[in-house]
Amino acid sequence: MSSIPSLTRKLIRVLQVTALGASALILLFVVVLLIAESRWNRPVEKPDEHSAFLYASTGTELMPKVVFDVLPDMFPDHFQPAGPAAGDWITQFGFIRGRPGINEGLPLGFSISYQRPKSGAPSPVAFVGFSCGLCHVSPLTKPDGNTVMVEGMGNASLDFIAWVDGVRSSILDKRMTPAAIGEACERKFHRKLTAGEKIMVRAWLPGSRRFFENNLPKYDAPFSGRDLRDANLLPNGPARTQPFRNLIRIVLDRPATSGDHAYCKVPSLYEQKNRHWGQYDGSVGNRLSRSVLAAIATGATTDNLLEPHIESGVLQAVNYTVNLHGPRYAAFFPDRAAAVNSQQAARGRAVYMRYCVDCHGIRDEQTGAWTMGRLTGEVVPAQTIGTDAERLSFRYYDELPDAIFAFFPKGHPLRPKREDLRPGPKGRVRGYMNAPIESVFARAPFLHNGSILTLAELINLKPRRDVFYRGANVYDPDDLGLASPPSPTTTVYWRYDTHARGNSNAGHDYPWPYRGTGWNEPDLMDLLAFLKTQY
Amino acid sequence: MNEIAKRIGITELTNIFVPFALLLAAALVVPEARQDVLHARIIFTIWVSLGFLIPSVVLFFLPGQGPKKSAYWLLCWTAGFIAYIVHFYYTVGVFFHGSLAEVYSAQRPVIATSNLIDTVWWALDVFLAWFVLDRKWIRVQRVLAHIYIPATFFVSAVLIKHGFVKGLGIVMTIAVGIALIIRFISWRNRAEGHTAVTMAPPGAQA
Ligand code: HEC
Ligand code: HEC
Repeated sequence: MSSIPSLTRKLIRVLQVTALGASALILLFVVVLLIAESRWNRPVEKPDEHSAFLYASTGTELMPKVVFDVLPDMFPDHFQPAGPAAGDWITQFGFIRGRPGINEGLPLGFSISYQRPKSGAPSPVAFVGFSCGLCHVSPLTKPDGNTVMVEGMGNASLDFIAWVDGVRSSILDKRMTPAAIGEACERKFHRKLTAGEKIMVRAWLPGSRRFFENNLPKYDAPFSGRDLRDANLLPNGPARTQPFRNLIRIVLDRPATSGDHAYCKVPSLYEQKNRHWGQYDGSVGNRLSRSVLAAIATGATTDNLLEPHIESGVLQAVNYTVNLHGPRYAAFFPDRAAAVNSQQAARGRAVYMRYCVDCHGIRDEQTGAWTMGRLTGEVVPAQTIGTDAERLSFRYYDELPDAIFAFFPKGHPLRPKREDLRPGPKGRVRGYMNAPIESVFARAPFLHNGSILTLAELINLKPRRDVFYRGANVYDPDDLGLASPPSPTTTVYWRYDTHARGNSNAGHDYPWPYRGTGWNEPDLMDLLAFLKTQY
Repeated sequence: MNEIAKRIGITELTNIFVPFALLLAAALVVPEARQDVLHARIIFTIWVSLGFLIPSVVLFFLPGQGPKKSAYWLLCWTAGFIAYIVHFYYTVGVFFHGSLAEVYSAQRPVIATSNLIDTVWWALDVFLAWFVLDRKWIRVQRVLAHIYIPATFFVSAVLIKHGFVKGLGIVMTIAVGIALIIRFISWRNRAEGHTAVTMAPPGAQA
């Protein structure tokens, strides 16, 4: 055994050199890939505030754009709950249809970015996520059928939670495979997936599916098909979500299933400069923190919110809401606005000054600025205001602020200040905040839970409806709010029963309870006319 | 290059570089398929680092002065260091945005400081081992580095972390412990005048 034949030795040498070369090449390839990767996330210019609000990513990347494009075709059962004849998913879930050439034609509120979900790591192909405009821009359909977009108004037709269930159903559906996505792409676009798309779909699908599977104990299995429109199964319905339930799930890692009926209407965001504390219960005292928490509740992470693109987009979008002016009634309904005579408006103003201004304030006609009332900004205890209290009584209401505070790593630039979260050092009243009501006609449906369709009902000029239907309701320019058909239709389908938990339309009986002591119809008609002049 | 570096032949180089390159490549690429890309890279690269730190420290403490042994020691020591630097880059450079202030506000000062000492000291010793001729002070600091660096890994992997890295940390602790015991026995045997326990350095029979 003293000498190995030289041929064998040579062979070993060749093998060694080959192995060295090959492994060096592999390592080199990886390094090149990493360098390339750092360039995928295209350095876009800082978006202006307006387009950031409408289109910029909030760190909530959901899926590769190609998957987003074909998913509804792959799973009509999850995306067309009312059947194929009732329109595509955009119509059926109340999204706002995009326009060709703008943001790649996506429905309004979906962002395009080159980063992957959760990590914010760069991607060679586009991913789709949510922008603020998804929830905070609303269609307003006039009785003549014309629809206008109201920026800042909470989307009154968006059935967000149902749509998310449709998405979860599809991603959990075992028929969804990279190959099936490729075939759907060929059917729709007559092209194969690009190499980048193939890689990203393969990388994304297992991770995303694992994420939804792991979350099943917390979120429960999603509904699908006709069930998506059943108010008993999906108690949120159009225009409402449960952001705080999601925060509990994400921040406290609890299912939040035991009696959480804190349904929240997507609020209107006009002139955020007029409020320091926000949320219906006045629980978050900083504009940026509100949006950061909204982003976390819809799937952003403390990591990806720090990606420069995402962070600057969120900051710009928040800035946009500072001076975002709501619409004027006269701009949408000029004839009816002209019909309000000035004496009537003046009488209505007097009613408002007597019964409303202390809590809500009023616009100064001279300066155009909102003048705060004596009590504006204060939180009225739930028992006093008498509106549905579920939004204030869910489990962990008291624990949540500390948990949110702890959720952000120390030193994280977007970490909310503890004193900006309530209950906390700055107050622990459980109630609703007396907030400015800029562009009051364009805040429908009313109250934090969207339980009152029109201002005529809110001020108790007309009796409040016990049961009505929600979806793409037409605007009612006389009663100022949403019209409801007497029975469900394919577009206005979701049964709102005000007797169900979290849905109460009681309380806020200002100026007087309906036909109660002091009730006076002419004054209320004047007040309603006056509200038409307000913006 | 110094004496140790010159002892590295193509066989030793192949035996260490090939697994090193493949493992490091995997540690960087496999995370692409995960939702927490950066986090996974940070974790996988420290696994690779520990994977090479363990044999290097074991070889260092085992008795014997064979050329192969020191060649393998240097290769593993260097491979572990390179993986550590990649880990360091993703942690401090990317996760903490290159800001020491962020590092210190997120980690306890003792931990943050000792990680920085690891980095500097390891870099220094790798440099000395490749390029500077052997001197007494170098040997002394090297022994200290081989105590200090594994000790910090012990604290973070075994005492603080959980999961696979803790397993690696325990393997390291046991392996280094055994190496030290062997060293001790061989030293005592020699001191008592017995013939030394001859441990063939790895690869010596090739
Ligand atoms: C998935 C829908 C959704 C998205 C997307 C969303 N929000 Fe909201 N937002 C809500 C809901 C629902 C609330 C009400 C929470 C509550 O108080 O219960 C809210 C509340 C707010 C408030 C507080 C309003 C008030 O009257 O106090 C602000 C400000 C706000 N969002 C800004 C933003 C910004 C800026 C973005 C984009 C970065 C954004 N939101 C994205 C649904 C959304
Ligand atoms: C004691 C203070 C107080 C008085 C007085 C008061 N409000 Fe309110 N108002 C509130 C609070 C608090 C809410 C939020 C309640 C909720 O969402 O459950 C509210 C809600 C509203 C809303 C719904 C806003 C939205 O975005 O959904 C409108 C509109 C409104 N009030 C108009 C009026 C008018 C008109 C009057 C006078 C007739 C009036 N309020 C009197 C405290 C008051």
